[in-house]
Amino acid sequence: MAQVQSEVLTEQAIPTDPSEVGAVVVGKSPWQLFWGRFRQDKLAFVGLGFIVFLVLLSLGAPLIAKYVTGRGPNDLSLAREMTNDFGLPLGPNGTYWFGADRSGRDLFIRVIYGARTSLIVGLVATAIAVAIGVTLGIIAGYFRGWVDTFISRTIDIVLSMPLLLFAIGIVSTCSATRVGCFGGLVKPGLPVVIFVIALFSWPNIARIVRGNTLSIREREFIEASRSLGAGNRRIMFREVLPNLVAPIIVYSTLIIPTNIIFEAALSFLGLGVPQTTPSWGRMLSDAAQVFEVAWWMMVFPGVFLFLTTLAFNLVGDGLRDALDPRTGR
Amino acid sequence: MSLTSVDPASSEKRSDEPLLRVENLTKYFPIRSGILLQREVARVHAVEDVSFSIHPGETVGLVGESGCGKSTTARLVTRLLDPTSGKITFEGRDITKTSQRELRPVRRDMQIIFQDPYASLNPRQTIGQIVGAPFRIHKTEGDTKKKVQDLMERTGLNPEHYNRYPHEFSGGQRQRIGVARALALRPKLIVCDEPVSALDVSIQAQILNLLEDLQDEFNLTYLFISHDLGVVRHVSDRIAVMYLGRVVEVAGADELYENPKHPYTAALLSAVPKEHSDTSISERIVLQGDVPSPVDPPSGCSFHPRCPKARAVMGKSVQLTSEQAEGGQVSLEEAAARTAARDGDDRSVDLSQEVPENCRKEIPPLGEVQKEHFTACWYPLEEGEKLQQAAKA
Repeated sequence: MAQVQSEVLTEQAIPTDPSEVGAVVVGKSPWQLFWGRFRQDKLAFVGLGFIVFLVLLSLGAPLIAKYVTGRGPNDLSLAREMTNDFGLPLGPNGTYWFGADRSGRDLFIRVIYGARTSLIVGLVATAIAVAIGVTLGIIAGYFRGWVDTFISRTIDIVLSMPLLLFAIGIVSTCSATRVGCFGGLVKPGLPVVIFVIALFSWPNIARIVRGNTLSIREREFIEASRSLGAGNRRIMFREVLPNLVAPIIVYSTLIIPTNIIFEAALSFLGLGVPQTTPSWGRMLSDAAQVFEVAWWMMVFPGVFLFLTTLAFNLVGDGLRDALDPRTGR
Repeated sequence: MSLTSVDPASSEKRSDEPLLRVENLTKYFPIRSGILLQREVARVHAVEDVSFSIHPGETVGLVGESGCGKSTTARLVTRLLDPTSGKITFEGRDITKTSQRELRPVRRDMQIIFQDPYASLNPRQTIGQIVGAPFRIHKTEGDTKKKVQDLMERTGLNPEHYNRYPHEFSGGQRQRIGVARALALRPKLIVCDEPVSALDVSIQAQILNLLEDLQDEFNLTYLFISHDLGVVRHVSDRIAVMYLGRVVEVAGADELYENPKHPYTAALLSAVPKEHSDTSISERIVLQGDVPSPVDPPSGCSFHPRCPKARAVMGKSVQLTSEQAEGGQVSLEEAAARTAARDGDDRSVDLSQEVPENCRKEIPPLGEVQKEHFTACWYPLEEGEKLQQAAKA
């Protein structure tokens, strides 16, 4: 649906473009061109707005906890403030906006702290996956031959591993001691979750980048660059990489929400981040047991997880349309 | 580095020592087959035993049909492809085996303009980045932006379009960008690989004039590749004709057009529409069949299966051409049947009756038949000889 919508918006954007190009005397910078196009996409703007809102909320979480609600994410409610006579948590009200969980903790504070976990895991794991995937993908597609064979078979092997089983295995192994695994490189807690998610999400990026590189390296401008005396590194990262921006952005925005959900899944299974760190996945897991009496415990983290996923997808679509200079043709 | 100053050393050398000398250049592309162990099953003979030289300040044209190896030659000369064998000498230096890293300084003096102005510019880079790339790669000193804008002005582009992307330009303007990029480091030799083939006729003239103006201004040497005979005659001092990977004839531009020695050249020239041609050949020579596959080129002279002259030598008239001359049309089925018969198993048997033995067995060397006029044919045409009549005789 988002794609159809963005296409409609792109069409609207076309009539304004030629006049912009024709009117200016001084050449517009690439950034201005990009921004001019991105502004046209209202859905992407809404998505971006939500992401900015979420980032501000998670950054300001300690301040909100301290000055607005006066409760931290792990503070239990005092004097049965948030549980009823049967010891069950109470729903949303004036003090506890999102209600409380079974331990009587403020769900609102836990949800905005959970946004921190989700964003950190989603962005950092994706960034690592993209860095690995793009580098290996370009190298495989550019050099071809045995280099490509080696990298492609590695991708196949990683993709053929049973994802969740290995993730559970690695997280458990690395969480067994405080030192972590791989010689202390991967520490238990958040780092191991990020490591596992990055480990399983780079192959998709690498595959897409490799495929695109294979076709781009045969284009004439690569030959032109070589005839100017450009070296392999320059061709790979200055000539090929800019042409990969669109697919990389599209697939990054696709794997950010996937990775956020992956983290939620690990936390749901009780692996993931430590007990004391709020996580939407763990909240959903807790809520599942008491859904019939405490719907808010599932709805609020669930809605945030859904909106975050949707927002990243919308922004990804908008970025793709704006970054493709051919849209203006 | 000033763009206007002409290096006195290079102008002194003019016409003495060739700027570029190509000797026995050969390029085979292997055809591989097999799943795990890729075995070479055949070779495409893209360029075979090509020799020519280009002197400073001159323009050498390279013509031929599609797939005759023109572009491969361009890429071999500029070392974008590695030759199978042969020798390339640029400014007296053997660059046949030089590594890409060591080639870097040579590339300053040797540039290439590509055929497709849409494919040869990176769509993700601005004009400033594209034209500025040579300066960045070779780490030249000074204000790159100023140099780029100077180049844009010289090639007829608006310097204010520095930050625009290639898709915002027309084909002709894009080719100007390609010219500006090639010109950036003020090279001595520019290989023009069909620089105007992708452009409209009106735009072609503009680009050709630009190339000529730049040649005068910067004392450039061109290797000009095209399949358009009119264009090549217009720009070239000397012309080399290629057929199936080999150079079959080399001569001065006017000499070649007025007095072709190789039957293939004569046939090629006769195919130019009359409005654009003032050659002495008035009748069209229709060659039999298609260009043979470069995977398995014919023995001896590679033109012999289609050569009307060879048949004339044997006293056999060429049915197809004589029928055409009488205005008769050959049906498609008939033509196909003839081609099939000739390309079939009994090809050699069939041809032994029609074509002289030396044409079939021995590769003719590129010999000087007149002063400055070379041709690779056992039976070169006489001056003014009409091939059509020869075929009928």
